[in-house]
Amino acid sequence: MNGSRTAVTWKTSLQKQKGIMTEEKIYPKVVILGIGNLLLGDEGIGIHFIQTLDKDYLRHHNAETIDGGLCPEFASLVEDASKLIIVDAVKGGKPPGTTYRLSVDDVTAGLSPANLSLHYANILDSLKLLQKLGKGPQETVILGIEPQNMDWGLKLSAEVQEKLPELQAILSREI
Amino acid sequence: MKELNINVHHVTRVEGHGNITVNARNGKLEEIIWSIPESPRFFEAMFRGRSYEDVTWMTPRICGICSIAHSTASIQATEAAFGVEISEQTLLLRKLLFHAETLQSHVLHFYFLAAPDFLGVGSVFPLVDTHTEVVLRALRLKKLANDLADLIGGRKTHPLTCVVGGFAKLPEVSELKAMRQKLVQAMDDMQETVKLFKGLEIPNFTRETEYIALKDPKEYAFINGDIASTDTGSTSINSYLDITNEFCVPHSTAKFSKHNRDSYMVGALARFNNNARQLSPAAQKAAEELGLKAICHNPYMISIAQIVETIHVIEDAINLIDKLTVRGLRGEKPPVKVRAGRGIGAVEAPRGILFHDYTYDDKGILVNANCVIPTNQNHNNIQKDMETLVPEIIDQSQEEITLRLEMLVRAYDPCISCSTHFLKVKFTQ
Repeated sequence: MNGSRTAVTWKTSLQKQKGIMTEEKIYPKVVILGIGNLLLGDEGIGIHFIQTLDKDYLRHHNAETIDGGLCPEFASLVEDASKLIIVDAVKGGKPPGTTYRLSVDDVTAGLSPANLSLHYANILDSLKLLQKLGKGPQETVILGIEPQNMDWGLKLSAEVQEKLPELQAILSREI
Repeated sequence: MKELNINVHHVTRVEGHGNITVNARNGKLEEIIWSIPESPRFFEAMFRGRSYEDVTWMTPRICGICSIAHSTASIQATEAAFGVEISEQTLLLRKLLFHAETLQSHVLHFYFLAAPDFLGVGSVFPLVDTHTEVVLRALRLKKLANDLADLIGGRKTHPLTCVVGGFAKLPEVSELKAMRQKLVQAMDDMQETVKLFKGLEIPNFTRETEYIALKDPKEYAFINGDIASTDTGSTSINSYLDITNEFCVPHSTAKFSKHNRDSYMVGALARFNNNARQLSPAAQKAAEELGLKAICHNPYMISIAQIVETIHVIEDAINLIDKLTVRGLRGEKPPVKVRAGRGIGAVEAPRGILFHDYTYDDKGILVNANCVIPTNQNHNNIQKDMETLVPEIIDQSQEEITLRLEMLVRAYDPCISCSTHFLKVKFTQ
C-alpha cells in the first residue's frame, strides 16, 4: 500500500506493556467505512461486517472503522484516510453470498443513470470532490456481498452471514 | 402559442427521488405535478412488538441525515408514555447534540446542494476551481458538526449514547472546552458565508402560505414547545393529528398534508417566521444583512433561513457548553419505570417538525406507532408553489422554467428517502 501521510509509529501490545520498543513499523491510515441500513436485512451488510472486526487488530494496523450508516456525505468523514475501504451490499447479479472486491473504476464503468443509486452518486461525488481538492484517500476499494433479502429485519440472511469470514479474509489482505 | 413538456425524473441534489411534470398546450397549462414515486417504508410496523430499548436504537436508522432528530423524537415519545422526567444536564446535552445535526444538515444543503444553483453551476465540482476556499470552508464546517455529533452522541452518524431518561456516556469537560474553541472559530467561517450569500441573487417569488413550527416561550425551539401556526396560533403537540391531516393523492406514494389553508410549510423558514425574535444576536444580525424578515413568503429564502439558523445553533452551542462546564458533568442513572400508555415526541428536524407517537403496554412493548416526517408535510406546499410559479414565468424558455422548478424543490431540502443505497453494478466485459 502506498502513501504514509498520516503514518504512525506502531508497537506490539506486549512491548507496550513492558515499556520497551524494539521494533517500529509504519502503517498509513486506513478507514473501513461500513454503510447500509441495519433495519433492512442484508442491506445492512456493511454495518454488520464492521461490528465483527477485531478492534485491537485494526488499531495495530492503524485502521479504524466508521459506521457510515445512511450518511449522504462522506467527504468530511474520510478526508484524512490514506486508504478507504467501503463495505456495502453489492447487487451484481450473481448468486446471493457472492463476495466482491471492486475498484472505483469498476463501479463507475458499469453505472448508468438508470441503475445509479443516488446514495452511491453521493459517495462517488464525495471521493471526486476530495480528489479535486488534493485531499482524501489515495486508494479506494469496495468490498461487498450479493444480498439475499433486503426486506425488514435486523439479521443477515444465512447465505450472507456465512460469507462474513470470507470477506474478513479479503479485508485482511487490504490492510 | 406556448408549448411546454417538462418531465424531470429524479430531481438531482435532493435526498431520494421526486419527479416534476409540466405540460402546456396552446399557451394553456394542462398539468403541473410534483410526484414521489418511491415505495413507502412503513418502519412503524417494524417497531411494533419490540421493547422500548430496541425502538430507541432502531429509530435513528430510519434516516441518515435526520438520525439525531428521529432519535430525540423517539426518546421523548417514550419518556412521555412512561412519565419520565429528565435532568437539567440531560436537557442541555440533548440540545447540544441536536445542534450538531442542524449544523451537519444545513451546511450540507446550503453549500453542497443549493449554492451551485445560486452560483450558476451544475454541481459543487466546478466550485473547487472557481471558489476553492468556499468548498474548503464547507468541509471544515461539516467536519466540525461531525465532531460535535461524535463527542455527544458517540458516533458521527446515528447516535449511540442517547437513551430513554438520559445519556449512556458523557463527554469529558476538557473535550467540551476544546469543542467550544472550535465553535468560536467557526463563527468566522459563518461570517464569510454571510458575505458570500449576501452577494448572490435569490429568485424573487412570493406565495402566501401557513407556516408551522414548534414554539417555546423560553427560546428558539428545536426540541421543546407547542405547535405554532402563523395562521391559528399554538396547539399542544398531543393534538398533532389535528394539524397534519395527512391524505393520499393518486400521483404520489408519499402522503400530503394540509391544515388551515390548501397547504403549509415546515422547516427553517417556518421556524424563522414563527420564532425570529428568539434568535441569538449574531443570527438576528445575519438575517438583517441577508435581507430576511419575518414573515417571508419566498420559499427560495429557505437556504438563507438555514444560514441564519446555523449561526444561531453555533452561538447557542457555545452557551450550552458554558453552562455544562460551569455545572460540571456527573454520571446519572436514567430513572425509567415502564408503564402502559401513549406518548408523543415532537422536534424540529432540519427539514421541519417531526412527530413520533407511541403506545406501549405495561411491559414496555410497543403496540402502536405513527411517525409524521417533515418532508411529507411540505410536498403539498411544493405542489401549490409550482401551480403559482409556472404561470408567472411561462414566458421564459422551457430550460429556464425547468431550472426554476428544480431550484424550488431543492430549496425545500427534501429528504424523500434515504433508507436504502445498496450498490448496483453492471459488469462490462
